[in-house]
Amino acid sequence: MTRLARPATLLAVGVLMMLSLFGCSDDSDSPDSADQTGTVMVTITEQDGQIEADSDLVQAKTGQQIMFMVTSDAADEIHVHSEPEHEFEVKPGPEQMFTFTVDTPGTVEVESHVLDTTILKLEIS
Amino acid sequence: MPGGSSRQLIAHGLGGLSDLPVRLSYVLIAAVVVLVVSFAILGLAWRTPRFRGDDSGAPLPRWLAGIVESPITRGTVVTLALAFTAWLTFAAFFGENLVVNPVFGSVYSLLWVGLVPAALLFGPIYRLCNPLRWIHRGGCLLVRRDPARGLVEYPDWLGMWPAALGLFSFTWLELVNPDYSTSLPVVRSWFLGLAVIVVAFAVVFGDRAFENVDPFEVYSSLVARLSPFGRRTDGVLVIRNPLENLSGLVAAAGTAAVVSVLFGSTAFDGFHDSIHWLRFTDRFGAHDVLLNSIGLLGFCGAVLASFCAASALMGKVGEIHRRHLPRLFAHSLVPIVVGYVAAHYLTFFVAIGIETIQQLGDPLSRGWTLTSFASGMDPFAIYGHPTAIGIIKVICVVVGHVLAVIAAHDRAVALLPARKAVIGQLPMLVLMVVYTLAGLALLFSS
Repeated sequence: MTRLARPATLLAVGVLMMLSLFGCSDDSDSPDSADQTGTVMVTITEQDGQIEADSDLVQAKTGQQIMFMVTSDAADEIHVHSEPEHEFEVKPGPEQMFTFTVDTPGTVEVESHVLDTTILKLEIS
Repeated sequence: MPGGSSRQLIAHGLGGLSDLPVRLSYVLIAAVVVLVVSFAILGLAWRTPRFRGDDSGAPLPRWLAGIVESPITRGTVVTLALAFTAWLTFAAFFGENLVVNPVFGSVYSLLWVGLVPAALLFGPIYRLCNPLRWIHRGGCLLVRRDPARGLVEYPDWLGMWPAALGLFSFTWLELVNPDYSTSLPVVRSWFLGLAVIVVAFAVVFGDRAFENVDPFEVYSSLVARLSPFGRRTDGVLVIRNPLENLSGLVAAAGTAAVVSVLFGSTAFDGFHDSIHWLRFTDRFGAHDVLLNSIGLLGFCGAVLASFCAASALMGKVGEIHRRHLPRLFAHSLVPIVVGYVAAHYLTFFVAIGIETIQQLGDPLSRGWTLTSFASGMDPFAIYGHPTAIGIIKVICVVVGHVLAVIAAHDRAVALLPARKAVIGQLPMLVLMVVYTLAGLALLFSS
């Protein structure tokens, strides 16, 4: 099967190159969020039909405590679309706290059910 | 099922959980490999065409060919497929309008994504099972008509354009608004509409219409061209180099559009989940369907336009009209599409696929446990291996790209005069690199 030799070799070289490079790249988990035991705090404010968090994209580890501190002028329901999901009832009022953990790695959307918008995304690694 | 009760309350489309972004280091490594290998192929590979299309391949062992050709095997596969369709129809008409209705997972995961691995492994199997073909065949039998015969000949200029439109409309249904994609009446109407249109085409043009009009059959048959199995010109079942199989694809008008819709819509799927796009559409509140429609159309249109431009830039090719160049190269985009689709949908397919099998045992949401054999599986276990997922995704994209470049190269040296063969294919090579890097960027950023 010499006619296949060239593309097959090129492909094999490419894949091997990648695998070896992956091997060289530092595979230890990035040390940027060293406070794995600490709680990740997110402040969420809902006012006049607008809901906003202090960060669009929040990073956390699996099993790490995440706390939403919600201040709202209306009743709402916050959904965390993790597996399994979390739902929090928000009442009109300042500084309501909701704590949870996510055990499955992945990107998770957090939504306001009443306003039907995405508040932020959680990157759980 | 964990979270089962809450899932019924939340209408959010399927799979609220998605992959972590692929690590930057992986993306950079892949980008370097893509560039190096692309130009290595351009410089080092053969200068006379090698792929022989449907003339290629070694016959399958007699016993294996016997099993594949046997009416018992085929009858069993078709019966299972039709029974599955009937089961889904039952769930679609008598089941509850809830996200846990198995119709949604079956449509968006088992059918839409699953047809890709099925075609890679078994060739054009959807064509054999296509329920609409069997409806048409049954109808023709009743009125004693030859299914191949229509009222008029299928027009060549129409080609695969109807399928491109059908694929666009399906991705629109899936991506533009979760209120549509996971609404039972909407999905049911979409499939009823599709069935009526496709069967009507078959009545008018004969059963040749299916391979041009039915979006799922067209998609499956395209991907099947990358499988190692196929039929030779003399009708013998063969095993062959997938690239030779691919080079045998006879593109029609609209094939480039079909490929563009597949690539563009998958890219838009990656893009429209990014927090920036979500924020942007949220700002316009009620207009998110419009914005998403424009975005989807823009992505597909940009792919088609750039592909046609790159084909035209290859220069004057003998007697071939420039207008026909896109379709002569359309096959070479298929590996890029398949590689990117595999990377994009890998976890979704596994997780939602398992969940759907669990749901299929309870089509009416009454607590039936007909598929209890699968109830012990955790659909989301695959998300527990983010590093392996990242590496597999990047490898899928790179392998798809390399196969595409080789396929385009072989076609270029077949069509272009020898002295222009290298220079002439540069635009297409650059375009493929751009597509692949864009795909990698989307895997990294969303």
